[in-house]
Amino acid sequence: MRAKWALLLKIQLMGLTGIGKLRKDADPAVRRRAIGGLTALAIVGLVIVFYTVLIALSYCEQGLGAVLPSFTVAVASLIVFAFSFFQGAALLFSVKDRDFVLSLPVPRRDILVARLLCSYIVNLAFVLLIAVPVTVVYFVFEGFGPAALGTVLLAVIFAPLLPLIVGAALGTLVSALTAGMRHKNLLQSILSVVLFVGALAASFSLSFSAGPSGDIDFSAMYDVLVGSIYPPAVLAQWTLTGGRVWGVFAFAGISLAAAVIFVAVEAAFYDKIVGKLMAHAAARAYRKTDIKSASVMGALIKKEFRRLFSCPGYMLNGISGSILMAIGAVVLLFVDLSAVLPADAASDAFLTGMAAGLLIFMIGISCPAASALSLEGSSRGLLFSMPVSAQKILLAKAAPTFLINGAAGLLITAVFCIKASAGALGWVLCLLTVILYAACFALAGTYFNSKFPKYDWTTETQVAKNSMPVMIVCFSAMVLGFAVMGLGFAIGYYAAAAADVLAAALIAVFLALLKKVKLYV
Amino acid sequence: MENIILDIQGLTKTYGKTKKAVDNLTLSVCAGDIYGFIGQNGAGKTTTLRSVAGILPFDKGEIYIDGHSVKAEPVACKQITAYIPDNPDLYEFLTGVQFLNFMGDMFGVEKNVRAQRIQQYAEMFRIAGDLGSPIGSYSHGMKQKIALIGALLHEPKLILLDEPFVGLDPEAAFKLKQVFHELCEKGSAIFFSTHVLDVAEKLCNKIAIIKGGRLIASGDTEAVRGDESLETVFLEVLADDAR
Repeated sequence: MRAKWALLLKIQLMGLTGIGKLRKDADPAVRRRAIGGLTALAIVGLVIVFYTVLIALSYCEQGLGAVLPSFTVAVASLIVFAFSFFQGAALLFSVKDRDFVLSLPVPRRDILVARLLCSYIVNLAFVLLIAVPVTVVYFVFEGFGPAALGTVLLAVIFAPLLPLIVGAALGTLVSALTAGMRHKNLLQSILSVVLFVGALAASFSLSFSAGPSGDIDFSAMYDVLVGSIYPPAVLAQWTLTGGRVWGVFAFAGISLAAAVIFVAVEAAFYDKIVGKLMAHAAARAYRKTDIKSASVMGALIKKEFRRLFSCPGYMLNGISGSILMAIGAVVLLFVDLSAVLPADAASDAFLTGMAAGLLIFMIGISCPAASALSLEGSSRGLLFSMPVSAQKILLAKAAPTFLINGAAGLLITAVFCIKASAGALGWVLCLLTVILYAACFALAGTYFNSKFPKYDWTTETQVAKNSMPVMIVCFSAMVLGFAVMGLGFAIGYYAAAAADVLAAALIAVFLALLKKVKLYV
Repeated sequence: MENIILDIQGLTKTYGKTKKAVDNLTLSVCAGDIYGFIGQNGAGKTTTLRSVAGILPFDKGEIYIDGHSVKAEPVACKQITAYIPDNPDLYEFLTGVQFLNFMGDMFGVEKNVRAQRIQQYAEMFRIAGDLGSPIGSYSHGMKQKIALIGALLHEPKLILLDEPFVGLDPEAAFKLKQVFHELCEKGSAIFFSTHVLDVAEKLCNKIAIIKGGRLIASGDTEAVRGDESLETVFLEVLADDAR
């Protein structure tokens, strides 16, 4: 008989991947869409692999190939920690099927083990996507050996465990502390943003480790990341290059011990934690001033904004690029651009092309519209039964993405153009890029979400972070952004202009496509 | 001549390639009708209600609401309809009053009228004290009540309800029946599914029995049940059909 945690894990993984449902679905259209989506995901994976290899090669060029494994473990761990923290209590406790699972004759420990393993497997898949190409580069440059392979394997397998546990514990703590408060969602979101900004500040300190030539000093970056921010990663490095065989085993042991202690403690306090998380602010009667009216579109957009700010996981995954742009605008105010940029490259045309590419990338990675429809979840019947056209519903879903990205993009563009003393053409092209791409990605995200909706999620982060439409938009922006930046080197203004024309055409296409969408349960 | 509010003509809905959930169903609901729709689990009740609400596409047939085609004029149909599903999955991130404001905005209910109706129904269902709290903190019954108030705000001509009495406390269920009668007196029509045959028998002036997607019996409640209880008739009809 299979262990109960294994049965729970199987069910969770089936729900997460949708494989079980797809196997049973006889509708060829559903299968076609799934194949299309998987192809898109494969392309996204290839893009990640491509950029990872580029960074690994840069490390090797600077003679730092030997530290690649521990650097990879540290980077992956930080990302896993951030996402685990943003999920907060939802990762282990506040999931939709909690009451059902709690009613089963399964020990709390098994429930926790199943949930933790499910998150671990998802994060391990992400870590492998980065670690496998880096390891290949590492062995090509540093030479292959079975002992090294074993060390790297062990380090990679255990890499997500510790950050997952620490992130989940801190996230749950924040959720529990704010659970009984009236504006708990907003508070949790603000706390998450504060931590996110803290992480950004750390990454800024990394980027400021650029050497006098303007090249990134990977050695300094490694010291900060592995030495200060995530020291456990150095244990694996000791085994690889320091001759201390016990290093990687210590790393695995620490991760495993942390997991065992975490599960034991959380299982002991499971009911208390759930009770705390379920606490609600005292009931409040409404006041006459609470009765407000708005237009249909206004009401729909207001609802979308409320949804966005109701869940830290959705907000942080949705508008990280916008936050980045807003912070970037403030940082730019205190940076002397002429000192940072190489003198021969600082022409208006070059800067415009580069800025356009960067803006496209930043705007594209912030697309709450790509998951807004999926987040309707089991309440979608309510929305679809409203007396409004599907197009209006979808445009309202695109609106927050457009408005938030537009505002943050215009802010950073204005600061950048002033600081870089941009010419009229530079101003116009950069501002156009912001407006057009804010609209383009908002519409694209909404359209892809209508094509690939995932309504049967158990936590918001499943769709806000991992869903197909989000990945398609994110990585399209990445590819397009870097392409425009690359073209900016060669053709300056024309790169930005071409990108803007492309965006205008795409907006027309997506508007036409959205007109044809019908919304059914 | 009777004023037909809901006219279903040959409705057919198939899931996948073979599973016929509703098969050539035809029935009419007139103004003033409280029409009960009964059948076993999986008989096709929810599929029919969802198709009428315009949230599920169907393969064949036509559905007209007050003369408007659900296929051709979905927005016009939804404007005069209210649909309450069996499980009130509402927006848990909104407070009760924010949700009601949202519903009022969607259906274009004027602010003063909205305030008066919210007050009236919130007091009737004893939920006024909780309207300022997030829906996420509500019990199942409270969610059901807030869904009902939201549905009644625009005084719809057609009210579709899927198992409306599940989760309601006895007082709320009683008051809901009163509201049904009041709305019908004003010319609305109510079409609801239920498994509670006693309620259907006492409340409805018309009954339809569905099995395997096909309409087995329909008409005035007295005519359908004759001298027997609705429960007996229902079980007999199902048994006859099985033979």
